[in-house]
Amino acid sequence: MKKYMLSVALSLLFLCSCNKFLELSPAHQISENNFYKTTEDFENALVGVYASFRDVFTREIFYIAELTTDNAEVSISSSSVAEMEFDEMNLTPSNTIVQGFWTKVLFTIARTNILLQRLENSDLNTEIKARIAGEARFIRAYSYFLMVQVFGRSPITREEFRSPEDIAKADLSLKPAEEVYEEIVNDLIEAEQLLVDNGHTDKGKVALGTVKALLGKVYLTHNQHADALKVLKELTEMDKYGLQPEYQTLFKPGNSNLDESLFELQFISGFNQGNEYSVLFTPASTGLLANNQQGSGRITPSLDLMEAYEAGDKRKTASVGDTIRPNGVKEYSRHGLKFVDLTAENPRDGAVNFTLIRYADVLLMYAEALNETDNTGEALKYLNRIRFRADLEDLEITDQELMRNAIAQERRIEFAFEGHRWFDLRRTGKTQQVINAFFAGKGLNFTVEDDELVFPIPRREIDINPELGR
Amino acid sequence: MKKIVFLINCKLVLYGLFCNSLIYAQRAPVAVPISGKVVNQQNSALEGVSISVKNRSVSTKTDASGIFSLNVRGAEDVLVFTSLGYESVEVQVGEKRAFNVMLTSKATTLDDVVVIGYGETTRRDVTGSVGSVNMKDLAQAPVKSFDEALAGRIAGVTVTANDGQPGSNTNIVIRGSGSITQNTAPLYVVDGFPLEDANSNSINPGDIASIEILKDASATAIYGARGANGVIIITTKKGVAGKPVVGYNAYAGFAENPKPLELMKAYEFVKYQYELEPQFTTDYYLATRTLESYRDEPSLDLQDQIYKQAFVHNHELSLRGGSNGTTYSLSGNLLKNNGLVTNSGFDRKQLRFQFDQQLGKKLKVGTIANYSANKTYGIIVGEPSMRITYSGLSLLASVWGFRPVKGLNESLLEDLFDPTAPENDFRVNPILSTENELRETFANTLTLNGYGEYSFSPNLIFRSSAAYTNVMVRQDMFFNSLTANGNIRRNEGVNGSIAFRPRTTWVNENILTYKKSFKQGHTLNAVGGYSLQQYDSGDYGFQGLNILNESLGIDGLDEAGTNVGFSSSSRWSLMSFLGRFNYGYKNKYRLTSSFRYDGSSKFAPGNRWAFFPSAAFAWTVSEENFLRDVSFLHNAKIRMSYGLTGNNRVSDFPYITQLSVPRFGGYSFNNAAPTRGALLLQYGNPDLTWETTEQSNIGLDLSFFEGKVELVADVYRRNTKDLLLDASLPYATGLTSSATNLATAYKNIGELRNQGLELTLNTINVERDRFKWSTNFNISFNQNKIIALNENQNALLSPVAFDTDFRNVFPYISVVGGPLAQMYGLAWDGVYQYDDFDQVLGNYVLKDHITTNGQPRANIQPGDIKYKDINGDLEVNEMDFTIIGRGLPIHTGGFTNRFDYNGFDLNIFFQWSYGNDILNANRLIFEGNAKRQRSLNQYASYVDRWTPENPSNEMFRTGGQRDTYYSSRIVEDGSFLRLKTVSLGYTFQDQVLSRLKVSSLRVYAAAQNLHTWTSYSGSNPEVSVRHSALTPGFDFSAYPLARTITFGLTTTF
Repeated sequence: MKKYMLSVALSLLFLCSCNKFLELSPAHQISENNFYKTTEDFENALVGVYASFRDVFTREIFYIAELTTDNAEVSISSSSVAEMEFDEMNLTPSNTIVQGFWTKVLFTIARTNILLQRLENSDLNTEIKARIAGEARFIRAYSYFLMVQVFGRSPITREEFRSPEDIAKADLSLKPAEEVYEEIVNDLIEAEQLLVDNGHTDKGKVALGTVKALLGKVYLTHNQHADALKVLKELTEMDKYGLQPEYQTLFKPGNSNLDESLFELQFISGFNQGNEYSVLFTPASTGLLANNQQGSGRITPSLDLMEAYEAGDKRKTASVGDTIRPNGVKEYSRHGLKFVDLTAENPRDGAVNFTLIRYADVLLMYAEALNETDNTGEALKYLNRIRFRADLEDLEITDQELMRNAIAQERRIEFAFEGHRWFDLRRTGKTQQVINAFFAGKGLNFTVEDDELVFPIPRREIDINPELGR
Repeated sequence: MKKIVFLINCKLVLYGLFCNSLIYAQRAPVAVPISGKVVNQQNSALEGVSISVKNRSVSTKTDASGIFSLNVRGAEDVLVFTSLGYESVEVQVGEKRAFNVMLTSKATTLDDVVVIGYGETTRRDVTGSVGSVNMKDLAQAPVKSFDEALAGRIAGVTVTANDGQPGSNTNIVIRGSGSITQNTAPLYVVDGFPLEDANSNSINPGDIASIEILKDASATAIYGARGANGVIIITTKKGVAGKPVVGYNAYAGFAENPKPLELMKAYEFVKYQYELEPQFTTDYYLATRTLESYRDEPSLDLQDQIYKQAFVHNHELSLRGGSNGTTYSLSGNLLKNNGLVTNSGFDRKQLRFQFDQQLGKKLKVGTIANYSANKTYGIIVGEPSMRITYSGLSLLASVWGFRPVKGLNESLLEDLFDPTAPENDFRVNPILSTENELRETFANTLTLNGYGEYSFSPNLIFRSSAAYTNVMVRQDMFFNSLTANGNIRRNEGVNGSIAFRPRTTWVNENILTYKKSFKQGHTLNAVGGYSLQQYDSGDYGFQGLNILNESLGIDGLDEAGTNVGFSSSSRWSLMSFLGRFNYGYKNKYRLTSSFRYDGSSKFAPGNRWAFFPSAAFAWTVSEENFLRDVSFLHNAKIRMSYGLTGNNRVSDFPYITQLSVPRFGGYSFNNAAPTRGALLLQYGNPDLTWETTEQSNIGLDLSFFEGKVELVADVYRRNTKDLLLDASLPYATGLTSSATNLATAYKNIGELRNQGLELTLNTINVERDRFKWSTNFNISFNQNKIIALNENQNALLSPVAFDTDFRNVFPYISVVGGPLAQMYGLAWDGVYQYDDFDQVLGNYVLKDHITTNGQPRANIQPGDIKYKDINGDLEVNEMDFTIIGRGLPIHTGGFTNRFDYNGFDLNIFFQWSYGNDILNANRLIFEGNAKRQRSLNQYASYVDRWTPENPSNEMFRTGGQRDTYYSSRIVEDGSFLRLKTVSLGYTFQDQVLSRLKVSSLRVYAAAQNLHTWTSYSGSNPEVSVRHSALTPGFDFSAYPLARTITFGLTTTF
């Protein structure tokens, strides 16, 4: 019986220490309890934000901004249903590409939310705090800008969720465009104040000029032409950026830290951080890429685009091609050349940076803002600066409407395959007119209906979050 | 188990007899009067016992007080005492004249020992619902692990294989899925120690003495937080006191693919390609020859090359015995199962040792050690890794899709890539790739158990035990440039990795048992104790990408362009207090109550501890006086139980939000080597706790005609509340996990109900001297119903990652009020015919009142696939989705027949599943080519597709499906009846044995999966690739189930 008592006593002993026995921690993972403490933690979190922002521009954006328009078409018969829907402008809520875009953008927003909120409660050095916050706010603003342009509205979240109850309480309903624009402008003005005018030598990072450029674009898109004019003027007066002398250097390997760039999304091969543009923009036949490889034939230039170039435009050969040489024999097959590296060993792991904002865009936006504020004469100067680099004659335009058309045409050519076209058409209200004409020109029955100007909210999202259906 | 009981009986018989061993003198026959009394074990007089004299016609019976008298001829006469239901006893008369004889009841299955949690009982005494596997039947199946032979053996236990891959998982579900998104696997208790992973491959089925399945809450509540999915108790063989017995068992045989699929031949293929892409096909196949000429062209079918007749063999050697309080057992096993598919298989080397020693009268100690080294190798056919979501990357997709014919100047079989395949077609030459891939998983499992048992008195025993299990998994992979994963088109280039995944568990249990029988028929059995368990797991290794010199193979990993290391670890601990109280009265009434109080590290402080009680009552009606006289009724017992059990199968730290800094989640500034960024890895929920299952059970055990007919029936209802649901979060929260690309977090939400009926019938149909025939039949019905889901949610849609184009269409739905995992999609309505169109200017225009099929109206042509328009808007889209199939069977079961004749034995086992459907996704790709891929061969069934001349309503025209919908077209009845195991053996008689100098010898032939009756068109209806409780019965590129035929012998020396 003594031994029996002993074991009872032992059990009691264990009882006392049991809570300690059950106290384990996930030693190998960083948990929120031991992260967000040092400057390094926040820098790492910021890198995470950049990384997910970059992922938005790897694939989906070209379906949304190029394939939908008169710039591009699918050139392979076995494209997926999602791709066909883009090509035919007949998007459904189960479109995988739209959902991919929705997910990536909102993921980026959530990451910036967490970072910004944690940053606010940290005791980091004020200067570092301001810089990180400024960069993060830019990325959040850009993300919301994408949401509102693509979906016409967006859920707005600013805070980190700490538990499923937080989510249940949160208002995740779709907010109208006005509210989203307000959010974007707030973030950008805040970022403008947080960031100091540094040298902007690393174009992979957001700087003050980047913020001003985006603010200009947001104002322009939101029809605040005077505000756009003001901020773009400030940007040109910063005198930090200029046009590359040779247009083609913008899109070739080694295009890093160019004078013209305001923001380059950095790609690098060998680290799973390369881009797939070399297969995305090329046709599904051999002869173009190295190692006898084929492209995807997913987003290839339309004949309409090929024919939109004026004779002698130096930009054409840098942007698009139409012959390939399998077995030494020329074959007609259109393909994109921007950010494409035809010599790459592995075309799915491209190292050409993607220039998200460049100075040519700033100049053409400035021209647009001038023209819209009834200063067509001044606008012409900036338009012609762009044409000059392309080896094209100066234009002589005094009529505001003609100027609008000229800027639109110039933007189409200058930024073909850079993810601008759909947004430019939407901003200038020409989407249906241009795209319907394009379909008709190809003898196709497809049209862009009024309700197709904003993309459908992904079906899975509505299933989970009925608030979005409202 | 029977054997042991029998031995005990013998002892009791001897105890009650006066045994004489004298030499008798020869005498003239004179009538000698003898008399005596016959009693039973309880010392009560037995009436009607017949006493006869052997080889003579004299006999008598006992009277009401058990007294008899008889005249015999002398000392050499032998008295035979027989009574129905008792073991007969023979006594030599000798010099005695008075005989007091005790008869013991015949050992029936009611006396079989049943192992339960923290104790043992008998079939007669068990109060809960516990199924015992007939190990003799199970041993007939030539399989590597017990789980492969378990299906259909026990009512209420469904065992399904994902597919036929050697070494792949089986899913064991007891009484229906009790969880929605979490693991529904039972808890395993091996030689007393609870394990959440079965490690079933590390146990040689030949070493298993018994398998018990605990099903109701009364039986499982003592396993508390891990009992809700049921418990499988495995007890291994121990040595028995007696002379050492050496056993050797071996079999060898072959496995083959019973059903390759029929594919299009050369002519049909080219004809189809022409319809799909006329220009390309003309250039490529018809430039120099006509279509007709392909009729004589030999056709390639890679199934001939990828499937091999595979050799399997198995050897077991054992030594068991014991004496003077010592028992021991030593056994070893060598097994090799080659796979059907080239370069795949499973090997095992295993050694097991058991030793028990009595030290003095009160102390007993013992130990068991098991070591097994397993190797699983070869391409994973059914379940490629997560990131491979292109259907073309699956092995069989490359095999079936492989062109049956070459183009000009092509060497199709020597090249890795099909030169006609575009960039996003990831198919490669499957033969080359399979031959060049290196995928080896080594699992070395060491299990050590030890215990000490101290008897304070015969009634009070304390047992302290400890167990340690270490599983070291090493996974080697190497993909050279001739493989699907390592070729020049992959970002990773030639790549490989070595990963170590150690898993360690230790358990300490301290149990006090008190047993006592009181006067007036009261019995008491109480168990109490506590247990500690900890589990540690790790994942360490490194990967080499873009390896420069592939000829070095896996040894060249260090010379890679990029080396990536990875390391992580995790752990959980569990502390428990448990108890059971068992009270019986006169074998009539039995009451059991048990509890367990569990604390787990998996939940946040405050939510850690939970209490799981249960109670059961059993009433043996046949012991009541009013049934005593019903002579055909042998035993009748009613069982009732109720209790709570839990399920804690979540990740180890689901309450903590975790981040990671992954190697590839970074961003490069200034094109320098990338800086790594922190990503959200897991979103925690601090309020999380157990899911709780409330189960009630009513059972009936009936036995007739001295146990020749036995019926066990159980009805149950299990309600699972606070389900641990890996609930989907809105993407708007941005909480997308980097691993799955889905936004989810664990919540305790939802409710699920399983209810069902289980019937088992055991009969001995014929029992004669030379011929015996017995059968076992069992059938289980389970109904599964979702009571509630996430807030506001009335359905849960579940995706299956099989192809990226289909990833947004979810083919399974779980609706509140309905069962889990119904198949969901469009109702297929055949093919559009000419009648559906108006002819306008030579074009076919779909009539206005006819629905579209999801394509723009203008694009639809005769011969296209047609779906039902459910909501009546004349457009087919997601709004027309409906339930198109059931994922779960209506009933499952098994039927065993055993025949013994003159040394021959024949065992025939059937297993079935009825009422479940299969989503045959193979047909999306290979019967109609939904992705319209170039150069992709099709099943032969698609030859009969719609053409203007052949207006088929079954097969749409070439290119006639352009959507990514799942529809009822590809849902097939998955019911099957399988002749699963047949074995025919011959046991040699003693005369032969003595000449051979062996003590027993049986030779046999056995076959596994001999034949399947099913209407399913795929190769195997027992299929569930990418299996989860939410997505059962999905078939795509599944490893076929092998038919195995073996020849073997079992011998002891």
